[in-house]
Amino acid sequence: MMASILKMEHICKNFAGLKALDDVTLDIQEDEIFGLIGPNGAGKTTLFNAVSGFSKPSSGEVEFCGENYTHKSTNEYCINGLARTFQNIRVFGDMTVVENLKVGMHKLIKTSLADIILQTRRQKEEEEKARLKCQEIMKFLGIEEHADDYAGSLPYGTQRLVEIGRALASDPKLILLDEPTAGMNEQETMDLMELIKRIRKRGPAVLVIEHNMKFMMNLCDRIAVLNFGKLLMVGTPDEVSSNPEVIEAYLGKEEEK
Amino acid sequence: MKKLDKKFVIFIAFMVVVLLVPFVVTNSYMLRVLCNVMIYSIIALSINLIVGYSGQLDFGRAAFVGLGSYCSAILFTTLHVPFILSFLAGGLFSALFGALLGMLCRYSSFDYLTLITIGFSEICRKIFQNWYAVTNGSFGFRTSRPEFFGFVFDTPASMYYFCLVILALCYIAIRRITKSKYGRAYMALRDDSIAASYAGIDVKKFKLNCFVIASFFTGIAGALMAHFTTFISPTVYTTDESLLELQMAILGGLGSLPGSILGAAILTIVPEVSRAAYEYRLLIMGVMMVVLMLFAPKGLLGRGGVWDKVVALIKKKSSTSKNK
Amino acid sequence: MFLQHLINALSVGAVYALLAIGYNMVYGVLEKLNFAHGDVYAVGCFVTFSLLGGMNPILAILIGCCVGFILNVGVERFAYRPLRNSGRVAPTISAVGIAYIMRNIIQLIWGAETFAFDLGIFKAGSINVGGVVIGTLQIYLFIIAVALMVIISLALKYTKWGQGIICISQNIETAALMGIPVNKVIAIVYGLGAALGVIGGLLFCQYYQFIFMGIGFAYGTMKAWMASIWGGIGSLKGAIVGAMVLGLAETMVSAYISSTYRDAFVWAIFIAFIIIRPQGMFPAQGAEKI
Repeated sequence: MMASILKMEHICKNFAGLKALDDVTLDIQEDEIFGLIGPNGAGKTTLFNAVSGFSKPSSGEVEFCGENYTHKSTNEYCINGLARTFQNIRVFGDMTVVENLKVGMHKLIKTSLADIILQTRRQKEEEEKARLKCQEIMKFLGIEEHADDYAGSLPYGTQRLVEIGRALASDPKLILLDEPTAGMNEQETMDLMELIKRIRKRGPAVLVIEHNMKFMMNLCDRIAVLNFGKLLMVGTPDEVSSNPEVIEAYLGKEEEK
Repeated sequence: MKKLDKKFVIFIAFMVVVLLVPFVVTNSYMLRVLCNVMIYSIIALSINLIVGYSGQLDFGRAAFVGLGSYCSAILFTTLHVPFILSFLAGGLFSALFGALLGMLCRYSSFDYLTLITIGFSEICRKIFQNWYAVTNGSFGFRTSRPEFFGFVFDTPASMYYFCLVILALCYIAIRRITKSKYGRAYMALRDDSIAASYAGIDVKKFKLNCFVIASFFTGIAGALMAHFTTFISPTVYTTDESLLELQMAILGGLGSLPGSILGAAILTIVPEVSRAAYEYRLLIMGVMMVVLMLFAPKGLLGRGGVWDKVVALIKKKSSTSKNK
Repeated sequence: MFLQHLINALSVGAVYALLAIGYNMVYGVLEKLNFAHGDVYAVGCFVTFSLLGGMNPILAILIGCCVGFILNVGVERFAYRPLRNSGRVAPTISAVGIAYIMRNIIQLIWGAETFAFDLGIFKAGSINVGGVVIGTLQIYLFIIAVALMVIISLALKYTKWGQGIICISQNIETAALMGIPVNKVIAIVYGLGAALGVIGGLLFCQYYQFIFMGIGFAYGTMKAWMASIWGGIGSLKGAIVGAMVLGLAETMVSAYISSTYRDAFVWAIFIAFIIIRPQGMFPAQGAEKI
């Protein structure tokens, strides 16, 4: 039995009377690819935001790496090993790809302002370390040739990879991917699936939101289904795809057809 | 590798020219103008750090120049503190208020911060103007030239070298900061503060320290200005002056450090050379601001700015002529 | 004595309210700091000032308003619209540039002197109520400010254009999708904002009985900002209340604390206020999305 890395207990989130999340309890293991599916507006991104410090849950507890993180801020989550990508890509457009990845390494570069201004050996070593690591990650993602291009000028799919690279650069224990295949074609989607599997081998657990069912069924170890802010079920892909409630949530009730 | 060598050669040549200037130019008026260029370069560099790198808009930099000026001059002249200490204190004093302003970032949005910087500079100006006991109010405050262990920088040439050394130190420090994790954090929070916070950057803390660091350099420039002109008057620290300094950074190119120096040089030298340019300087500045924003928001040397466009054009021209 | 200060504060507030109403409309619709607002309408004020000698003052005011309207529509078209999607810094700087250009145009045409100013439509006089002197002009100003507010809020509520403005201020893309001619509406808002500014500026000059090239920025844009933000952006009621608060703060500070440091104190109060309550007194709702 693996230890759990991210535990959500009875998470609720209200927006001005609307219950966006209603008593969600989930447990993500240290070494798994965990999927989160649900129709539009089911509260998937809201859940991501609530368990990564962006918008604190109205009630409930979040436990990250065995510690209570309910009231921590996003950068504290990151420092302890959480990284994420966004539904609508958020790369740093006016920075090069290498710089983007180095921003991901921000917390790992341990130099003080004095080191920087005096350009001490420590500063040089840390920068060199960062450069090598970023090179390794770019190679891993196959984007070395774009190293010095500005991220904002790259095609959509490459920007997605830069975003993933930035997340990987922080040596995360858990990566949240928010609709990574949005706007990708069939081939790119397949490549991405392979990539996510390779990422898991590197270490971090992966929590992924996706609409593409085929993608999720082939990728995930376990899948949770959200509907109207409520957790419908958690199970293996096979269990999920054969569950009548899930089919109903996606396709509507029999009578309505 | 070849390209790097070329850059290095240009750099060395530039340094030699800069160092030899006082031997060739003996006209003290021209040396004074060049000193002014260097002082404004430091201010423009510090503005670049705030506006170009961390993407905050600051319309009150002149107040920080003033804080540095008054602090250093009062310590040196009224309280007889050794020069080097009062000079550094000018920077630190300004940084202290930078911290105050940076702390306010925590609570306010982009627009409000812009207003706060204007308000802060208005408050400072009122105090410079009216606190007669300390600043001598609108009569201005007289101080003297820098002095190290009995050596007084009283000739134009010695002052030129003094300004040059200070500018060089500030430039190197700022360049190192922008190439480090600090600079990257500033750019990240400028481009996307939410993504930056998910990358482990404490956005508020870095906005704060950007203001502190930049204000330190602005204060140093202020102290330098005080001891260079040897006379401080509250009329120098107005919002119009802040906007002129901001314009130097913008004209040179936000995000480009050599650009800031170029911008400061152009906006200092042109009004000196041309009387008409001096009279209509506000109009020219206004037109320049609008035209730059519309057609070259990255200024002369910024990425994708005028210089980059010209280079791209020449490359295109030469490649098409080769093809023919 | 306190009552007299209060009356003065309210009439200064009424002048600021007139400036703030126009500003708030413009700021509310795109939420971009418009540094040039005051300097643009100052041109209109000067046009009216020049015409006053040989013309019916009402006609002169109308022509001044038209000049302000056309000028600001032009400025919006050429200096702001192309920058609508280029982040925060560029449009602000562009507006500062426009402010400089306008101020210099005034300086080139009319010079940098301060001129005596009188519209000649308000009868001078005052009422004495139990030792408190209220100028007739102060009463007029108050009535005009409230009337303008009522007219504008009715127009926003009950006309097609008004609804269009509200839609755009809430979400510009959706408004465009709903078939609202976004660019046209925004241009008109800028124009109307400047026209209102001309009226406010003229009444300001009437109140203080002078006009000079600096009325735009220091007395127009700055005061209108403070009032709008104090009251709450995009809220007309807020603009008026904010302007009253600004008038009160200024009058009371110079009466009871220090007149030399008046502006410094008012700025300090303003900064403290926007830190404690950045949304203003009558806020409009909004949230950041991922």
